[in-house]
Amino acid sequence: MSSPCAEFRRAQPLLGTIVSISVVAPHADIARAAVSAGFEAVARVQGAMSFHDPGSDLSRIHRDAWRKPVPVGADTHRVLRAAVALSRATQGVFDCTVAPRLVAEGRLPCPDGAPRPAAGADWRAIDLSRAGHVALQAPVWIDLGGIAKGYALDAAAAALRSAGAWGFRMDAGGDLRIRMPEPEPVHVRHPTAPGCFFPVGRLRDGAVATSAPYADETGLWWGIVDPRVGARLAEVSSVSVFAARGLWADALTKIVMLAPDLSARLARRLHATAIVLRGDGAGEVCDGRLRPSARWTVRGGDNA
Amino acid sequence: MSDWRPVLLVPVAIVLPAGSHAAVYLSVEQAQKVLFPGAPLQAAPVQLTPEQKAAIEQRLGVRLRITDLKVWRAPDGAVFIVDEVIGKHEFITYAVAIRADGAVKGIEILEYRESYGYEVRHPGWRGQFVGKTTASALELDKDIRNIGGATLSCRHITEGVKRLLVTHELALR
Repeated sequence: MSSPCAEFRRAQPLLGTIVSISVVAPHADIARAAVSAGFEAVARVQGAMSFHDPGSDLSRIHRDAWRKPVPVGADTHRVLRAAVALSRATQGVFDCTVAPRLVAEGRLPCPDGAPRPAAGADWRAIDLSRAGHVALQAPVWIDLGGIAKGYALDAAAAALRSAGAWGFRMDAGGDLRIRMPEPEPVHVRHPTAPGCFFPVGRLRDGAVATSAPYADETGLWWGIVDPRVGARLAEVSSVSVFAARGLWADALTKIVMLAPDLSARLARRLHATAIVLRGDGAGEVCDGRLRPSARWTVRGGDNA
Repeated sequence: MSDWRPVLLVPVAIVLPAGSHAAVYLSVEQAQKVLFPGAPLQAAPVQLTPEQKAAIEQRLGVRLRITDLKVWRAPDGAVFIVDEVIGKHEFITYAVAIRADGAVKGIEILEYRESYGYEVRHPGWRGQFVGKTTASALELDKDIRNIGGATLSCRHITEGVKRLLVTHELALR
């Protein structure tokens, strides 16, 4: 008789990072097919929401939506609806139209054939009132990077479950999506020492997203852009958010980082919890009220 | 949310002091089955000649680090190549399948390793964590499965695939 439970895992270069999917299923064939279905879902979301790909929904929005409504896929419409709802709820603290800043820094390519963003235009220019269509009241450049990554894992989770997976672990460059029979330990990288992992909690079914100004290959630190002032945050700390959906988890990391006061109500509504790790080793766990429910400081040890 | 709970309710936390982490996804044989299901692959390792190496380097504008290629061939003319890329902190082994017409058929990441050396080089930094581990079991790499907040980019893999496509065109057809 074959084994009653099979585990299979693969990793692919997707979403600008490495995406790994590990599946537990009643049979090896089911596990393999589920992993493939998961990657197909991630690739579908990437194809629709890529800033780089001239054929993506996003690129077509940048080129044409300022002069006529552009038909988009259900995924893109859903993610943009969520982005606009978050912008409204945070009065623009979360704003997916910060892309021009990333283009100016060379972090994103200049969109081909798209008009320059209108001065002063922001998320309020995005009109989603017509089902399946996006219109722009003024040209803007939209970057869905983080929340599209979170949503891609949500879409993959749905695909894995339909394909018969009993449990799974997914990792998209540090954004996690887990559904396992037993709670799994979750670690987060130290913001100034990415080779060190803090145990921050256990998760049975849900998402964890982390935002931090990690150093890149050249040693430069890339902070989170604050759309209200158009500058990057200087503070070196990381924010991890546990939430039911990857989309909310990823968006909340930025909101907690930029405006902890504003994010409290949102986090409670989304049943999310944030964990803040600071560069000096201090940290705090914030529950739905986003008031610290635990604080700690790591001090120099005797062996130092 | 009832499905998760923080463990950091005490003023301690840590860390994997070794500064290294590895994940093995597929063996070479498993990757062959994913990329060429049912097709028999024949091992056909290739040693690039100095002329081939020079031609590839000229086309890419970079120096080739490795000239012996781990190549397998499929009956339809496609090839399967196992290669490695090295970043500042990461080391990735991956496989690429290239069709006879030179198009990418698929990519699989086989193994990922990362290493950060500063904990060892800066005992003061490391010292702040020594003896502060919440549960010793957490130090075992097998328990560190779900790591949030990575720095990973797939840029090196993209560059590696481009190098292999040029190598295929100039030396493997």
